[in-house]
Amino acid sequence: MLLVSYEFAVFFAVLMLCYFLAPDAWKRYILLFFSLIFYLYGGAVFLLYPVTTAVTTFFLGKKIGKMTEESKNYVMSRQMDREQKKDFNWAVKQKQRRFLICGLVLNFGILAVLKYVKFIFPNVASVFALLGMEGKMEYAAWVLPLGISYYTFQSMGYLIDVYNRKYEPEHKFSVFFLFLLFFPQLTAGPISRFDTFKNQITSLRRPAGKQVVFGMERMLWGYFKKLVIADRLGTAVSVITGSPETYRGIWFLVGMVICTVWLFADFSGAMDIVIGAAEVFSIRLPENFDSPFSSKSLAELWRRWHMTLMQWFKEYIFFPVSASGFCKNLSAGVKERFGKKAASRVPVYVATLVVWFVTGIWHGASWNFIIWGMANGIVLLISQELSGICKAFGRKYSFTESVWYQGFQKVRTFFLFAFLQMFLYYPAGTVFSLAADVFAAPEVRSLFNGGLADVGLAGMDLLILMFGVCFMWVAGRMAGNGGIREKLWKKPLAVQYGTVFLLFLLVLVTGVYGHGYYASQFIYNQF
Amino acid sequence: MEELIEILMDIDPDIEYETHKTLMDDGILTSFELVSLVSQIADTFGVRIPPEQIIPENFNSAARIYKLIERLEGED
Repeated sequence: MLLVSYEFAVFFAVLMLCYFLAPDAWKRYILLFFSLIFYLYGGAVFLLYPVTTAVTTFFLGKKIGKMTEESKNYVMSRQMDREQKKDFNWAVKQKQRRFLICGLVLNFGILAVLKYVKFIFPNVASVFALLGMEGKMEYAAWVLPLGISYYTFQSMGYLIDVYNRKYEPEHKFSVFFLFLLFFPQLTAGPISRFDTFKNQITSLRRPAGKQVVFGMERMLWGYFKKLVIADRLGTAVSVITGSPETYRGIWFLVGMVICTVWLFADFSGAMDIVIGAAEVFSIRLPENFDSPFSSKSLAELWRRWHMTLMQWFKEYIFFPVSASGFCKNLSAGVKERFGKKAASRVPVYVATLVVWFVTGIWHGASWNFIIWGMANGIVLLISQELSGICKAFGRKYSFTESVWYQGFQKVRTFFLFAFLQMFLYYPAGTVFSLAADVFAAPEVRSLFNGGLADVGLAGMDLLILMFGVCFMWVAGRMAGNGGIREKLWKKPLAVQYGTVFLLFLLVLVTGVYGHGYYASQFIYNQF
Repeated sequence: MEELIEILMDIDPDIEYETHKTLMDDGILTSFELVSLVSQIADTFGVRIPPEQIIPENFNSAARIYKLIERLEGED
């Protein structure tokens, strides 16, 4: 079920009615029941996957938690010295680790088979072909169950946290199952943490009118971004990136900007709908964006873009890899040869490259995504190496404090991010050749000789887009100064209703749909 | 404590580490710097900081980092 569909509107309205009428004690079960309906809409057989993940994680979590509890009681009931306690705890941790590894292998295994078999097998076949072993490899082209990456990451985060004793394991299956299957976040995230989610769903009450209004307003804003901006840019993105031989020179630059704005409007629009929908039921999901284009460096941008995924990678991959035995041994070797300073960089380099390899492959099972991920990792490492020089430059020249210089840094970061995005659309060689053409043969006139009209960016569409993007930018900036919804709430009712109605009208009149048109899927829907 | 401040000064000499209480929250200690810091702490103090301990509560100020080192030294 698409978030931009009539079915979803009906589904949401019925859910709201049931939720508000039901006693508080039932509200959690109502959300779970409707989440199941939402999931089953895509096909009953797919439910098998999240059920497998939920059941295995739930029971493994309980087992690990029980072992922790028993070991604490054992230590308290015995007279043990520090060394004995240390040995005992180490032995318990080793046993718990086996259960953790079982859960990780099983659940990431399911994800890997479903998502990457189409990528791995043809590549293995190519390697065999190179070795002179021709043959046909048979493999099933699996259909990805809805939200598999999101619920797998959430559940594995939970299991690792229980193993690390950050919180107690959950004892009510309905609570844990809703954590994985809560319908708004199945489509495009965000990736929630169990402890914050649980605190909210175990004390559900009828939401206040203000919460419902805020949630609906945020959903409407998301629909604006998706239907008015993202879907209007979709055609231009596919036409420009689909024919690099035609759209060269200045078109590469136009493509960079368009693809980035399209991705942002689509993904952040989806997040507004998802977070707004949860807010209607007084559940606060974590934010995934924090004005990413106000960033002055690529590292900062990645701290503000797809925040929950990047936080997950940081917590469960970056830090553990950097502290791994492999990094330790490598650091020791580097220290012997090149000294202490160089050795301290080893874990940073290894962990960064591993995280960005995983980030790449998470986004898509193809070499384009891996190259895109690694390119981001390499740029981030280079930036890190240059940060000392940049700081010294900033200390020496006071103009670096000026608004203009900071504006330049923001524009530079935007274009760097947009340039790296191009590795998702073209092979690496094509990206560099197209980039060189921007300077060697820009052919700016091709934009105005009917070129923009050919990609669907002319006349009224162009005007609406320019207005829409400006509106999105201004609203983004205002949101950072205390929240537009809060300000609107303090205005007279007529102003509140008038503003919401105007936005609704804008979506209705300028949104890209109509007879015979179906809103496209969100980009992050099939992860 | 002096040795720790010396390591931190290497990361960013412009920060007043004795008084700053939001090193991680303010993004002064980013992931890169944290990993490098953890590795240098292991070298200097012989203490291994587990990944799950790399949280703002432990890394927001020099005093808290030092407290963590002392706690982990006690556990060893």
